[in-house]
Amino acid sequence: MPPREVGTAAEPAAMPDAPLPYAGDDDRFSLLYRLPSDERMTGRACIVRSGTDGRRLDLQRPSDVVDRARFESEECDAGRWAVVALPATLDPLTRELSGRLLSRAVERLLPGGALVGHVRHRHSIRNMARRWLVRSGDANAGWATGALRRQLLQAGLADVELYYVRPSIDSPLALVPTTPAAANAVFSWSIRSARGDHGRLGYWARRLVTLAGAGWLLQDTILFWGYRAEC
Amino acid sequence: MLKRVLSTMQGRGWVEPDRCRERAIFLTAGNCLWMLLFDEGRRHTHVKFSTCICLCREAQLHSSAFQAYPEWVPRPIGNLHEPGLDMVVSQAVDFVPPRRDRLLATGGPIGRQVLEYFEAGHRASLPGGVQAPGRESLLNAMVEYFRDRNPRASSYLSTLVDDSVQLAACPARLQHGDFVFNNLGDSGGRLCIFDWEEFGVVDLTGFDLYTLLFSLDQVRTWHASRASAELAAFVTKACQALQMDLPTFGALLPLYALVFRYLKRNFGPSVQQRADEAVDMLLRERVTL
Repeated sequence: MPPREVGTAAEPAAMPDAPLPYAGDDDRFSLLYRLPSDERMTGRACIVRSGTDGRRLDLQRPSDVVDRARFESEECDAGRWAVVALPATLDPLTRELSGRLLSRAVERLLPGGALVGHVRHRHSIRNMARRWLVRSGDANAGWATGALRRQLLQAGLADVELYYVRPSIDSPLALVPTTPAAANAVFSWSIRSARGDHGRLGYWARRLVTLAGAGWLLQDTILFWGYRAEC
Repeated sequence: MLKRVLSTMQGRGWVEPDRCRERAIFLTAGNCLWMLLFDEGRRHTHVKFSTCICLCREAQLHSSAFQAYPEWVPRPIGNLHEPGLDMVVSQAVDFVPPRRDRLLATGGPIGRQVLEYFEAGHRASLPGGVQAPGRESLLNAMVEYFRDRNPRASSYLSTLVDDSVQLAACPARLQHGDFVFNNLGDSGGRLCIFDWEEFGVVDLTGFDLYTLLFSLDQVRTWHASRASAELAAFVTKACQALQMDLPTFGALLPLYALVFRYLKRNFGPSVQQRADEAVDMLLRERVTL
């Protein structure tokens, strides 16, 4: 997308129609994955697919897309990638396999490179219901924020950050910190701002959940990232 | 992207490093992102940033708005324009969305401050280097825009350009430009007004009142003379604060609606459809002075 310069005049007639690079759901999904990487850092990106997520992921740098099995088995030098992306890649994996994949991904990052991905949130009402009612066959029931953070740190990442994705990973509009006080402030504000989007019952149910300090129950997805330490 | 934003803010002293840890990031469906920094759940800094558009003008307009209305506008902290990154940083405000009924309640603190904002319109001025477009330029641009999209609207606007009697009855005051419900906040009884990127594009007094009523779904109600006593009282007092008479405000409603639709020309179809519906209704049932 070419850059647009508005200039300094408040001149509507001269103002070209603005490009809206984040208008589409896929555009914002890609933007989430570009947030942690340093665009001044050169190097390729690797998108590791689990085979279930077929969305377009544009990291705005030369990228290779590989499936998980190939990524794990491929003989290649460590320190190759500036970014490794794991879009829902961990979801079908056991903790053990997830740990192995994460360690392998960190090994293959350039120093300072970013690992970024998203997973199902274990403690969301929707995911809990899905587990109990549908009997999902996934080996991993999703991740709690604490367990995910520990796993990422164990894999060797530094400056790990976790966010809930609102309202959904399919149409992301916000990243909410997982620290309780800030998360609750955002949940409370978001629900009150979007009052018209829910029926009366739905609105008050959500309000009560956030008032009880449990807005995280409504969050289905966690976005995570971390960096390989600089040498 | 985020690392660069945060290191810039810390490097310029806009925020202390240990106050950057808790943050929420918001993606718009447009061309900017914004970020809120928290300290134990309380917002302290607001950052708007973009890698694809220049935010210089918005930063200037925000500063001017703060000078004109310091009681309602968040304090600017700094701005940046570098290749590949633009930022506007301001003090964040802890607020909740105002209750819709309280916005129009002339006896309550929020409704009263909305009226005070309308009354204080004479304070507003544009910063040096930013030119006001002028009504004629705006109208001509709109005539062109609507020519193929809505010939009826284009014809109405051409009439206004040729015969400026109605326009002359409308005092010239710089408007916020997007004075909608979502850009207002209630911070413990204090009105907060956000998002000044369209500030000064429109100088038609009454336009902000129209956009507020539009965002609250009250234009049709008021126009059809089905307004509640509270709404009627609010519009009457608002017009007094704006120093314009009620019939003039009523007669200019189609123009306000078209200006609003024009300003939303880059927005999504749902916003445009809502604005178009108001345009059609007001053009169909328009009254003249």
